[in-house]
Amino acid sequence: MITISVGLASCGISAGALDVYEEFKKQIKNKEGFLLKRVGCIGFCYQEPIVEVKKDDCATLILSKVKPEDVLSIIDSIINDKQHSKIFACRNDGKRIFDVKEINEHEFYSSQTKIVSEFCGIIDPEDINDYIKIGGYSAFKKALSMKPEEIISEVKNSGLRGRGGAGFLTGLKWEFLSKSKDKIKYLICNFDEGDPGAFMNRVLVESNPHLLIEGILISSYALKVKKAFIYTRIEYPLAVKRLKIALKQAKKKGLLGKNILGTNFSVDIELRLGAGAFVCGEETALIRSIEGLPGRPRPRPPYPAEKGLWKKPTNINNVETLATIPIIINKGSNWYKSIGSKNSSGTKIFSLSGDAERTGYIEIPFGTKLSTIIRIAGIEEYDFKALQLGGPSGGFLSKDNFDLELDYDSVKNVDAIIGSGSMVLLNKEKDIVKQVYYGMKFIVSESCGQCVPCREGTMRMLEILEKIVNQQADFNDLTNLNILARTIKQTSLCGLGQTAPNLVLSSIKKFFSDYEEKIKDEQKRFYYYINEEKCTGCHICFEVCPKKAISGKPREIHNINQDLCIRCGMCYNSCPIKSIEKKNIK
Amino acid sequence: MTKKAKKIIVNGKEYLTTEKYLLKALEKLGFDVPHLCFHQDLEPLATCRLCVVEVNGKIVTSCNTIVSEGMKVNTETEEVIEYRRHNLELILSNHALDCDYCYRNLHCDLQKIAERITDKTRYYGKVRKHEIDESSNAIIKDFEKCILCGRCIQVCNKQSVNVFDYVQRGFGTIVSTALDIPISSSPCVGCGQCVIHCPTAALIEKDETQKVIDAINDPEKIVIAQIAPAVRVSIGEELGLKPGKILTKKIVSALKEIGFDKVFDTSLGADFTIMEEASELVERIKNNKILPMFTSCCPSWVNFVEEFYPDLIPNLSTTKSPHEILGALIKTYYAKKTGISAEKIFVVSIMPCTAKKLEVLRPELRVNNLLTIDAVLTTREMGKMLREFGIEIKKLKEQEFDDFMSASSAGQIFGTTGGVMEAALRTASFILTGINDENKIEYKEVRGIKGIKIASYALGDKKLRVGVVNELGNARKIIERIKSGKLKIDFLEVMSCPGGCIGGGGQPLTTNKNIIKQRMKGLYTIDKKSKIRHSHENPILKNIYLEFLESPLSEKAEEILHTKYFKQKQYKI
Repeated sequence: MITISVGLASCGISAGALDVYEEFKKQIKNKEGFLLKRVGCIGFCYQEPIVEVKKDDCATLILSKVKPEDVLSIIDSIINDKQHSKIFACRNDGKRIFDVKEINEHEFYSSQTKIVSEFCGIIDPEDINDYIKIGGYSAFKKALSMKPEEIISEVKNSGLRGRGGAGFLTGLKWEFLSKSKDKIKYLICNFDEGDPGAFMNRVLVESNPHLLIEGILISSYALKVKKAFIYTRIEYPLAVKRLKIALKQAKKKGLLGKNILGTNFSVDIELRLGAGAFVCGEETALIRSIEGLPGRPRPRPPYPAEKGLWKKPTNINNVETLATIPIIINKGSNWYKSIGSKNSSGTKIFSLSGDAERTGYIEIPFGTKLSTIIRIAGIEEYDFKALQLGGPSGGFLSKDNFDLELDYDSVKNVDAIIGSGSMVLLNKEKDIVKQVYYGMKFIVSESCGQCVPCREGTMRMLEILEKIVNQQADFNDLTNLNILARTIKQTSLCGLGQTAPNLVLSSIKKFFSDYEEKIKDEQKRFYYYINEEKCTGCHICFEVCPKKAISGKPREIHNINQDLCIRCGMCYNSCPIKSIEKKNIK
Repeated sequence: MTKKAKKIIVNGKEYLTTEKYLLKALEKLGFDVPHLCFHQDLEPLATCRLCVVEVNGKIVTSCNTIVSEGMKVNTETEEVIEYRRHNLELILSNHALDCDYCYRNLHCDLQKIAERITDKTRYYGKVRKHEIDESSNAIIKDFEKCILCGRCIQVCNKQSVNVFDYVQRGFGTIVSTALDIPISSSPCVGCGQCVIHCPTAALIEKDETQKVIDAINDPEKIVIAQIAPAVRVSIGEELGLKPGKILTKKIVSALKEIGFDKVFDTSLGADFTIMEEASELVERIKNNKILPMFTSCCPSWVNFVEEFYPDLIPNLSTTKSPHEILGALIKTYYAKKTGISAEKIFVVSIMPCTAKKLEVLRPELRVNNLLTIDAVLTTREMGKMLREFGIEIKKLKEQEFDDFMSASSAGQIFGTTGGVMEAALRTASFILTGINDENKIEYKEVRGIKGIKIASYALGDKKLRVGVVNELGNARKIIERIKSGKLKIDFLEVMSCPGGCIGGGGQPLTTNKNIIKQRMKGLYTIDKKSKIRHSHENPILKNIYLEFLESPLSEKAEEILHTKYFKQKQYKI
C-alpha cells in the first residue's frame, strides 16, 4: 500500500499543489495499491508543494517543490524504490531505503517542539475520522468526566497565556467568567488574524480544524457556555471551508449540539465572518462586529467578561490558545508547564517570513534564543539586521538581542512584543525607516477613526516618516515624531492605537542611525558655533539646548560640543545678541 | 437610592464623591479637566482623549473611568498636560481654523480649550475635505469643522432617529448619514439636538438673519415678530445673563429697537391651540373616535410620526402649532382688521427650535396661498442679531406686547414638557364641567423633566388618562407600549427635545439638563404670577372667536387653525 499525501493548505495551493494533486489522481486512477490523501502544511512553506509518500513499512519520504510533470517519475521511483531528485527528507517511521536526512535533523525542524501543530500536514483536515485515529476528541471525553472547576484550575496551573498578543493568563481569564452568575454566557474564538506577516492561525485551522473545535468544546464545558462563536475573516476562504466541513462532521458524530455524547452538556458553535478589518481583532470591536454593528472598539471597562456579546459575559480566546487546551487536558498541566520558560509556559507558533532562506511556520518553546531562530530561518548572522516581531504594532530585535531568550516578558523588556507571532526578518540591505513607514501605512488605513490620537496622530506620524524617507525632514520632525508616538501610545482608546507607535519607538531606540542618515542634507552641511567676541555669558543658550551640548558658566564664554549638537537651532534662535553663528562645512 | 460616597485622593488631597464617573466627580470637586467629547447628559464617548489624568500611576481618560475607593488621581502631571496638549494640537491640525468669522466664534468648546491649553499646533499635513451639506432647511452640516467626537451620533440615537454614524474609517472617517446622502433625504426630523450637542460649528441651523434684516430694511414690508414662550427664559443667556431669567418685556423693546414693526406673543397662538385641541379631545372622547390623541405642536414629533409611525397619523391632533396659528391669524384676521395687505406682512417667528424652519415650508400650512411664517429665527440667531445691533439688555426699558395680541399664562407654559398637557387639562376641565376649579389649577404630576410621565385625572364624570413625554427616544418607547396594548391612555403630549421646547435645538449653547431646569423654573414663575391662567379666559382670544372664528372646531376655525398630515418616506432616495 502506498499513501501519497499532498500538502493542500493555502501555501501549497498557491505554489501549485492542486495541479500536483490532480495529476496524482489522474495517474493512479488505474493503478492499485495507491491512496491519495489531502493534508495540511507541515511548516516548510518555502518548499511547497510538498508531497509525502509512505510505502508499506518504509520511512515516509518527503518531496519538495513537486511539479505536475514530476508526478510520473515520482510514481515510478516509488514503485521501484529508486532515488528521486525531489526527495529532501524522510520521517523516522520505518526502514530507510536511501540515505536521506531525517526530518528532525533538518535545521528547520531540529529546534522545534511540535505540540499544537504536531499533526498538521499529517492528517486529512477534511476528515474527522483521520483526527479521531490520532487520538482526537479523547481530551474532550476526558474533560466531560471532570468537573468544570477542575478544568479551569488545570488550565490555570498550566500557566498558559493568551496567544493573541497580550499574553494574559488564560486560566485567570476563565476564572473571571466562571464567577459570573449570568445564565447566558458566550465564548468567542478570535480567528481574525490580521497582522501582515502572520499566518500561523490560518495554517493551523487549514491543517487541523478539529483540534480547534475540540478546544472550544472543552472550554465551553469548563465555562458552562451554551453558545460559542468562531470569528474569522472572509479573506480566509480555505480555512472557512474546512471549518464548515469540520463543524458539520462533528455535529454528525454527536459532538456538537444538544446532550453531547449522552451527557447534559450542550453547546453550539457558530461561524461568523468579518470583512477583514484589522481592528476587528480587538475584542470589543470583534464583539460589535458579531452583533452586526460596525467593527469599532468601545472604551473598557466594562470588560467583555462582565458585559460582552449582547451585554452578556463573554470570554474571548485566540485560536492557538484554544487549540492548546486539548493537549493540556490530555497530557496534564504539569507536563505542559515543564516546557517553555518560567513565566511563559509551553510553545508558540511563529510565522517566519522576509529575508530568510527558509520561511514557513515554526513551533518553538518559549525561551528559545533569537540566534536559534535566525539559524532556523537560515539567514547568516552577518547578514541579519533586524527581526520585526509582532507585526506592524510590534517591535524590532537587533543583533544586540542574539542571546535574548524569547518569552512574553523578556521581549517586552526590549521594547517589542510577542504579539500574534509574526516574524519578519530583515537583512542588512533593508532600510528600517522604510519598513516602519510601511507598517505605519497599514496602521493608518486600518485605524477605526474614533479616537483622536489614533485617527489624526498616526496620519501625522506617517507624514513625518514620509518626510524622513524622502530626506526632507529635520531634527525637529524627529523630536515631534517621538513625542507624538508617546502620546498615541499612552492615550489611544484601544489596543490598536496603543500599539501603533511601537515600531517607531523601537526603531528610534535601536536604529537611530538609519533615521539620522536621512535627515535633510543641508542640516548636516553646517554647524553652529559661538562667536567668542560677542558672547556675554548670559547662559540662555545653555538653558534652551535640548541635548545639553553647550558648556560654560554664567558670565563666561560658552562653547558648543559639536558631537552632541543636533543642529536644532534652539540656541541660534534664542541668543539675544546673535552671538551664535552658522558656518558651512565644505 | 442613596449612593455611598467614595473616598478619592486627588493631587494628594482626600475628597468624597458619589459620582460614577471620575470626570464628573472631578468637575464637582472643582478640578477643571479639559474635555471635548464628554457631555454631561450623554454616556461617555471617550474619543477626544483630552480628559486624560493619571490614576494610580496609569494614564486614563477620566470621562469613562469609574470611581473606585481610594483611587489616587493626579490631574496635572507634566506627562498628562503634555498628552492633552498634543491631542488637542492633533485635532487643530485637521480643523478649519477660521475662528474669526466662524458661526460659533466665542461659543465654541474647541476654541475655549485651545485658548486654555495650547498656543500653537506643531502638526500640519493632510486635511479632510467634505462638501457642506445645506440641503436641509433646518440643519447645516459643515464637515470641515467636525472633530468627530460622536456626540451627535449618540444624541440622534437617543432620539431614536439614527441619522448619523461614523462612515468609513481611519483618517478618512466622517460623521455622516447612511450612504452619505444629504440630510434632507435622511430620516432627520429637524429637532436640532445634534446642533445643541455639537462642540463646534460642524452642525448649525440654517441662518436666516439676513433674510430678516432685508425685510426690516424694506420700507414696503410690515415686519411682525412673534416670540415663543421658551425664548423669553433663555435669550438672556445669549447676552450673558443667567438661564431662566424672565425677559419677556425687555425683548419686546429690543426687537422694536432692531426695527420690527410689531411684536406679538406666540402664546396667544398657544391659547388657540388649546381651545381647538381641548375641544377636539372632548369631541373624540364623546364620539368614541380614535384615541389616544397626540399633540401636534412639535414639528419634529409630527415628522417622526409621519416617517416612523404613519399608521398613527390619525391619532395626531389636526390643530396647527401655536406659531402657525398666530401666523395664519395675522395674515387673515389682523390684515383685514388693520387694512394692511397680507402680502406686505412679513412674519418672523423667534423660536427655540430648528424644526420650525422645516415646518413653515409645508405647503398645506399656507393660507390663501401665502406662507404664514416668512422666516424662523432660533434663540441663537436672535442673540446674534441683538449683539450685531449692539443692544444692551440692561439699558432697555420694559415694554408690553403690541396691544391686541397678548396671552394667558397657560399659553406660556407651552415651552416646557407637560405644559401643553397642563394648559389643555385646564381648558378641557372647563369644557367638561363648565367651571374653573381654582384649587386644581396646577397639575403637578405632569410637571418636571422626567422622560415619561403618566397620570390620570377625573374631569367631571370623565376619567382621563394622560401621558407626557419628552425626547423622541421616550416617545418611541411609549408608542410601542401603546401599540402593544400594554398602556392605555387618552391623551399624549410629546415634545421632541429634553425638557420640551426650553431644551430645544435652537436654544443658546450650552444647553444641558441643569440649565433646562432653570429655564423651566422661569416659565412656571410666569404662570404663578399671571392673572389669566386659563386659555379660554383670554379676552383677546374670546374676541377673535366672536368676531372672526365663531367657535372652536367651526368651519372657519377648521380652515384656518387645522391642518393635515401625510405619510413620509424615511429615506427620500
